[in-house]
Amino acid sequence: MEPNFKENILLFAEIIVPELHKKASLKYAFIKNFKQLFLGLEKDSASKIKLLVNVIAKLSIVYNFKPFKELSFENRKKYIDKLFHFPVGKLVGGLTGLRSLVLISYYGIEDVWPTINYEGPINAQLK
Amino acid sequence: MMEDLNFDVIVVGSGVGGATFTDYLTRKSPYLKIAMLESGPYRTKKHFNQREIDMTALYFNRGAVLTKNLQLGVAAGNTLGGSSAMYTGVSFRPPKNVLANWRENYGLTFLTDEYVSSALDEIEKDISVHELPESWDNQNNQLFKKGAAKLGIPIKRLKINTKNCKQQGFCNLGCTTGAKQGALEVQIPRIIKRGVKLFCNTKVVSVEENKVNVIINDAPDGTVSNEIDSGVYQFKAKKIILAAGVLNTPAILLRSAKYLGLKNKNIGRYLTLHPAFNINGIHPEIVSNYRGFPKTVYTDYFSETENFYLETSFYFPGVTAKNNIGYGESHLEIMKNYDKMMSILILAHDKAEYHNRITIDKKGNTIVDYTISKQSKKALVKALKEATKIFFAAGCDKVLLPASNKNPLLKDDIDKLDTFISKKHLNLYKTPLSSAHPQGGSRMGTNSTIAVCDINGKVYGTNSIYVCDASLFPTSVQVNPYETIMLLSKWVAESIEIQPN
Repeated sequence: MEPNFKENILLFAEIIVPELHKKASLKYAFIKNFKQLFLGLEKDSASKIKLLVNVIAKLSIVYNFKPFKELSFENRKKYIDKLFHFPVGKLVGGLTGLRSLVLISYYGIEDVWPTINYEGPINAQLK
Repeated sequence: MMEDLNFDVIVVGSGVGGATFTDYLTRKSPYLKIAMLESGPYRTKKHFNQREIDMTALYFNRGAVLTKNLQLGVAAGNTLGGSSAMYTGVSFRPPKNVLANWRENYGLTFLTDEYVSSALDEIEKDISVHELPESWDNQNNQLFKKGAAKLGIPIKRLKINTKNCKQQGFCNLGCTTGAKQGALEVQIPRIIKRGVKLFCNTKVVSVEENKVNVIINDAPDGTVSNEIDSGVYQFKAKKIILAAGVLNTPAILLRSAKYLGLKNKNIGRYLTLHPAFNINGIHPEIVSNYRGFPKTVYTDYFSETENFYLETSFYFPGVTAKNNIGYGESHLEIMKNYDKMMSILILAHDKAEYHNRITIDKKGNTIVDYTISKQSKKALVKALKEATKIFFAAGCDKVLLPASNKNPLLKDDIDKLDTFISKKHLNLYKTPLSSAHPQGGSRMGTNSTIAVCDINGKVYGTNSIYVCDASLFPTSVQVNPYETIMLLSKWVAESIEIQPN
């Protein structure tokens, strides 16, 4: 994944799961999982996600007069909240899809499982 | 190494349609030379590791095949055994009213009550379909029964096809013990033993009469490699059976239309998706939900009048997080109750409508062009209300819903459900609406003005091409479709005439 794309994904993901903002230690595992999902997507889907992330970054200039990566956490949250209420349904649908990838990546982190009391795989051979 | 790629029969797809067809065909005609082409990798139970993030690889596009309007996600298997490798094993016979409709309006007269009953008796015995004992109901299932009983909603026990199940609960990530009697465990080992040649990682680009044009890719790391090198190939056969599933079979026909001279406007049309919500309530006590067998009970009480089923279900943290709407701190708080969640699966019966279809883009990729109808929205909203009542009757304190202007709903809200839950609050762009039961697109019928395939599964306008999967369904079967796919596949295998070389 390109560094710019990775950075923007992480900035978006921190709003979806604020623990990622608070605990730097989770970021590496999150990106590893997200990358695993992203690289497994069909080319067309991957391109659409890249396009969406690009739109998020570009619209930030229009809405905030600042690049996405320069927004404070609070302003980033306000901005993403606003995008989730955007009048174009497909943009909201895209954000919802991206949200799903973020959540699956985050809750795939083994260190997160104890926080939700998930015991993980039980097949003894695999532990 | 160049191989002899001439066969009597080529089966495209190793899911339950293709595997059942091949199983019955090889019983009838053991000397046929058969190839099975599977788009996904060759994995067996040894490759399943119960880890959600890894096991998304079992699904097309990691489980994220979205409809064109981005309102619904379709899950379908892309691995040896197709979706039967990671479904829960729920086995329903097709409802009698659906079969009557298929006989009367589409001419599927072979589906007499007698034929269906005897064919499914045989199939169910073969794949070990049975009711699970009540002692196997985990607390999620017990709570569903408790809530339904309080409300006077009759429940029924689901039939499952498992043998020596260890109740690990990871069915949807692939069964590591091989207890689930899907195609991967039952038919595929059987047909390999009978000499059927298997080619995995094989994408079918197009078909012509007696020809299949493919690209064979390298096996992903950790999966079983093909004996043939990766590359572009043309397979030849007397008969070609398309059993690539609803997302692919109509797309292959559309990509091949120019070679086959097909002008049938029904190809890809009348798609139904059995749209589903998986919703959660939060119970005050810890609930055994992801351990034990995930699904043992359901109700069809609302099926005829309100067009939906309610089944039990439970998923792993990532998918559960996705299914609970919202994000941020409030979502994190909700997820802290993962071990107290009770879960209900809503399945809405959708009508087969011409405008809902599988189509292809300029590159030939599948597009799922589907719009939720007003009737399905109405069914989903009604189902959300009824499920909410069951959650509260079962003792849940909170209910998390996708069509409510208040989230979560609390016990005191029970008398105001009509205010809180309504169609106007159902924003499909924000909701985790999904489908695991796509059907139609190559429907079977007595003539090409209403159908794509004849009643023996042969594609109208072709001599050698047949369909054998859920895309044959003229309308939604309204229940989990596994047994109905097997039923039609058995019929096509019995009807087809092929002489070996």
